[in-house]
Amino acid sequence: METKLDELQTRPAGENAGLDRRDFLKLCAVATSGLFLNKVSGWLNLLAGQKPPLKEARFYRRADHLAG
Amino acid sequence: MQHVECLLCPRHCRIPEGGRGDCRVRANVDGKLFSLVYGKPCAVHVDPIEKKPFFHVLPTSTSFSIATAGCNLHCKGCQNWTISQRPPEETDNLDLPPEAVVREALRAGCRSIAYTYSDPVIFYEYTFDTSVLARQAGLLNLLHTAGYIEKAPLADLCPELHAANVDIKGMTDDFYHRMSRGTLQPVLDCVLALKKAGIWVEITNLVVPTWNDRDEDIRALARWVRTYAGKDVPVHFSRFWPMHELTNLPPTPEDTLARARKIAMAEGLQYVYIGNIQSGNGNNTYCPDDGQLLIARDGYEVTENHLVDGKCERCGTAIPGIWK
Repeated sequence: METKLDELQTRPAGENAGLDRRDFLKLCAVATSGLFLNKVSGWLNLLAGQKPPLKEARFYRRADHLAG
Repeated sequence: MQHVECLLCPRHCRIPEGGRGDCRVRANVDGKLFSLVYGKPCAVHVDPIEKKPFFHVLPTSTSFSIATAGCNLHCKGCQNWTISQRPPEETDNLDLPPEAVVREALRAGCRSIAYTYSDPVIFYEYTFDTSVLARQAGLLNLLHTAGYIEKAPLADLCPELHAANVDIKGMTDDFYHRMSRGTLQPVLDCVLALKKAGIWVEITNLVVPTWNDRDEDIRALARWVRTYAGKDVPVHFSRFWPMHELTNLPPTPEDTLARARKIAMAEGLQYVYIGNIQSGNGNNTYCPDDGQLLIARDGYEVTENHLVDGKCERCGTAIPGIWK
């Protein structure tokens, strides 16, 4: 603990604020990386020729090709 | 070749194998109809609930708002045409299944999920499945729709909904045909069905210069709402911005919106707002009994709230809405 306190005291003014900014940037990076990884996984699936399964619609019926 | 007939909206598209419905997002594959946009939103935002617009639902809360590509109307002045008038191949889509929507909405601190921007009718299955999970998780389900939907699918969806904003674009079939390639009655039926189901309803009318901005257009809308939906249904007159096929028109003048509000209130509507513009009084909620300012808004931001348990703090009049 004493060592940690010494380290804090030897840091220039504003260093703690800089740590807070770094932590904030890390949080932003984590948040955006989730979206990025989502897109990457989609691209990888496309490359692998995998198409996600389609959802069957509700509210439709088979129909004759003739109208009327 | 096995055709299918889609029964989701009044178009009743007859779709050959390999083809799609008019909405661009429902396709016939081997004689079965599939949604091409389930779990694939192209728009995901956390918005103030006032932006939806809902002025009588959970003021100051945020709503997790989603939409996919496509639409079953083709409004010439669509304010979201870059996604509504596109097939999903031309939009940038996320992979966000229903459970992920709910998870992200909770993580963002939202109190509701809004199915909006394009039209939730055409991503019906995604809307339905997500809203079931959202309700279980304690979130409200908000629909913003043009209301062009058949009775049966709407009836199935209603038990999951808490509030809906329906666009009534005009009051004649001729308007709907020329502007949107649609018809009027299904939209009016949608409003009445939502009301009957006990869902909170607000109405939006996009006021488009030279198309639906005459006194008689506004009066017809206001009279219909007062007579059939109720004088306490909030109506939002929204400013049109030149878009899509109507870039030759100017934005709706502020005077036009103020006039619309005045006409609607003269017809007996109690809560009439002006949207897509910061307009002072037109953004505020007033007590219909004593005129007290209840909720002041600066655009989408609530700056004052004088409701106490959903009632006017001065005279105690109950103000309809979902306040908590």
